[in-house]
Amino acid sequence: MMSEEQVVYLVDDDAAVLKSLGRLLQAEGLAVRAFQSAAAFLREHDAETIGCVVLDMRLPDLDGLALQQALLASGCQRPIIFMTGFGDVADSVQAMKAGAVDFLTKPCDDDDLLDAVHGAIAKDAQARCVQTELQRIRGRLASLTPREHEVMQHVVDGRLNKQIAADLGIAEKTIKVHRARAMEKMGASSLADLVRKTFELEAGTVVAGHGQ
Amino acid sequence: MDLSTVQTKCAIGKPSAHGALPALWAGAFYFIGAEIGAMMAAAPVPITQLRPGGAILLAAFLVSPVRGWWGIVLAAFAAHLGASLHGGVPLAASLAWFVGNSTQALLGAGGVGWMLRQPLRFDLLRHVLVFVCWCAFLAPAASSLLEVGLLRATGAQAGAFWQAWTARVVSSAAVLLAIVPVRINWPAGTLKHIASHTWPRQLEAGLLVFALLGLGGVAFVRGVVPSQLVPLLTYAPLLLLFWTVLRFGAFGEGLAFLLFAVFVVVGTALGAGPFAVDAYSGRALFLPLFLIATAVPMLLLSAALHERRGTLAALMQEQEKLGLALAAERKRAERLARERHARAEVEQRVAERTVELRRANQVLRAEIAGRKKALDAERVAAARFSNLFRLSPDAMSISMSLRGPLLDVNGRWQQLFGYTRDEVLGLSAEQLNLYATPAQLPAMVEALDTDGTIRDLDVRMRNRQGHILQTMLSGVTIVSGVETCFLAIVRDVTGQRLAAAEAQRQREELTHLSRVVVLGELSGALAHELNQPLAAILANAQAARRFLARPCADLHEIQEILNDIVQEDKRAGDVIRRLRALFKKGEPILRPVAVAELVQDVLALTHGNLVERSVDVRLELADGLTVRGDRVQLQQVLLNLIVNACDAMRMTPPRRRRLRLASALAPDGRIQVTVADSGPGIAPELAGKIFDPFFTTKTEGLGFGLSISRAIIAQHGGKIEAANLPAGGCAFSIGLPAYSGEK
Repeated sequence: MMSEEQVVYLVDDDAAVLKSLGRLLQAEGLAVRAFQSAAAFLREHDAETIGCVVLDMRLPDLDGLALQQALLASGCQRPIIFMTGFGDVADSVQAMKAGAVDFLTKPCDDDDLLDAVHGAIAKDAQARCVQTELQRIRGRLASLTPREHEVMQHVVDGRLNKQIAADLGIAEKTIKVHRARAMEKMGASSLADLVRKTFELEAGTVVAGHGQ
Repeated sequence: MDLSTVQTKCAIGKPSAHGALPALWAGAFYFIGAEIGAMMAAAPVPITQLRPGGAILLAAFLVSPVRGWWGIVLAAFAAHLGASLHGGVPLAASLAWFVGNSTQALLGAGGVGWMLRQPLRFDLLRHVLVFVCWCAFLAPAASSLLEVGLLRATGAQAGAFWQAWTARVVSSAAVLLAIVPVRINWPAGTLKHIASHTWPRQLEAGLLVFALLGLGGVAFVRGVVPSQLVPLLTYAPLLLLFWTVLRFGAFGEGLAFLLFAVFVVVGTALGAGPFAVDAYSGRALFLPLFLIATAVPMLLLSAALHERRGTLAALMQEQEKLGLALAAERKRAERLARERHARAEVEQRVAERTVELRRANQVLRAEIAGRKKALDAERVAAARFSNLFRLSPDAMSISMSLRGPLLDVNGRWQQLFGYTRDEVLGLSAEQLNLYATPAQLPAMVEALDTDGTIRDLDVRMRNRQGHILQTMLSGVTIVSGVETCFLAIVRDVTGQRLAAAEAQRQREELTHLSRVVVLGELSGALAHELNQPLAAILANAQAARRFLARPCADLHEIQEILNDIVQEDKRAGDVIRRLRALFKKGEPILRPVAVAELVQDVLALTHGNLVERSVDVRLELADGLTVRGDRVQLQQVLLNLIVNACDAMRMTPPRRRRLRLASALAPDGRIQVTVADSGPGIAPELAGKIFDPFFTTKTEGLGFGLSISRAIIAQHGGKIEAANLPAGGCAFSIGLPAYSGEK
């Protein structure tokens, strides 16, 4: 996990601030990519790399909150640390609701910033693992035939083979065959495992301890 | 042929010669006629009936007035008796003849007078007809009855009655026709009349007489010509008679006919001519008939001719008269037209002259009224000036001259300077030490010399107590007649000046307050502006610390960091300095200000605000433009406009918030600074009010920003205007005089 490249994206319209923050993060050994405008950032940032964004709340072209929305809309859930000249409660609440990991006031202490950055990177890495697991489960689910999927739904709902056969109007024996196939395709070692996997898919997250 | 006039003269002239002379003449002629008749009766061929007595009497009556007739009758009777006695005629026959002759003449003349009621004229056809019918036939017919009757009664004549009567009537008519016209037409002054004719005419008359005599001689004298030629010759003279009628009128004709008749009668009496044979038989009727047949047409022809000539002449005369009348009429009309024209001209001239006079009158009246008014005005003005001087709220003084002794001062003057009138008269203002700055005096004297007046001059004066008075002095040199004096009006403006200074101070206070308010509005953004360098400094310092903590610190990097720290510190210092300038309170200082730099400075202050509001700023600044003004106040104006623009775009979607700051040199030479936004613009109903004090659309605004901005620009000699842009939004433009380097 940690062997993968991790990048801190810095976005601030003030060149001096950008340069100084970049220096601070580099001194900590972090890879930094600095952008002076939201547009430049959106154009050049790589959604696949692990990392976080340190974003100035006020930008001339697109303000911080709008940039956050734009990132979310593009499907990128990269953690964002907001920085602002002076605390604005309304702005910070909105930012946190939208998934910001932290909200710092300029000028900020270096430890606070670095903690936030590290935390955010870890969170991003974690999120990316979950996404990978979910992707795998989704791939297995996609390999089921419609009938197998149907039968699996009933099984997960806790119905007996007999009930399922009556509902679907087919032989119980056939149900058993479909059920066995579904279990196998989903890579479920037990009924509980199957249920967990479907739950994880529905919740969009991974139950701790079962991820890879 | 003016025989008519000749004949008229005869007729009128005769009565004047009444009395004995006409009667004697008549008697003489009567006697001659009776003698000739007697000669005829005793001729070889006796012609007894041709007795001219009756004809001669008639002619005498016709040319005489009635009262002269008895004389004529008496004279004729005497002549008749004489002749009868001479010829041996028996008395009875002689009396009967005379009765016949006189009756015939009386009837004839009386009838003519009664019928015509005027003298007989042979140039009128009616007269000729009356004469022929009445005198020549009816009157003889009647008188012959009497005469023949008397003759037969007395036995003087025997034979057939009617035969005798006929012969008597016919021969009487012939004699009358031959004699009476000659007498009636006989002109007065015969010879003179004949001599008055031209010689060809006299010659013609002579030839005619000669021809008549020749032809008559040949025709009626026996044995001269063969008997077969006699009838031809008998009628030949008739042509000559016609000729006479045509050429010589009634008188000529009468004479010619008488001559002709004499020839015929004499020839016949001598036994020659065509009528001799007839006369031998004793009847002798054809001779008078021939004479009648010749005479009557001649007389009628003559009258007709004359009448026609008279008519023609009258016509011509009439025509001539008409022509003359026409010409006269035309002349009169022309004269009338001329007169009318002249009158119209005169009338017009009169009208024009009347208008002129009226106008002149009006002018005179106006002048009189004007003079009267001027006189009144002068009187009123004098009274007015006296009152004005006495009651004027300004201090007034009259002196000999600007620096001369005082002649009079008014109440306010005494009050202002603290002296009484009696104290100061005769002293000059300088002597009273009224001028606090005597150095001003020469300039005042010069102003008075050049312009004649001093107007609103600021003069510091001193009153009796020694207090300095700020005054405004006006003065004028008054020349009346030979005297001149100087009128000074002094207005104490000390209080006014103090009030003005106070107002100025308050204005400055307000300007400052407004500035502070704007800066307050910008506090968030200003904090950001300060925060940025501070943040950069902190981050840089922390980074440096970390670099230094590393085993082998990169000193080059450290150096760079320190440089940046210094840079950022300066940046923060700039922000603070700008703010301090704006917060500072003080009198405006006018200096040349570079416009582009001014705009950049204000932009630096508002940068945070603009970024926070996502306003896209576009700068269009021309280089090298300079104005003269107070930097702080001009910044304040721009700050106001930018803050207002940002506020105006509050409701505009962030992507469309644009602020345009431009400076340019306008065509009129002024410098134009424009602040344009993309907001909703100014509502039309508010357009006139935006520069008013206390006008604001913001809940937290005081409403002073724009009104103070306008005051500031006005103090800089410029103008600020607002206008909505066609593409939306509003533009404020400031026009300021360009600074050209003087002062």
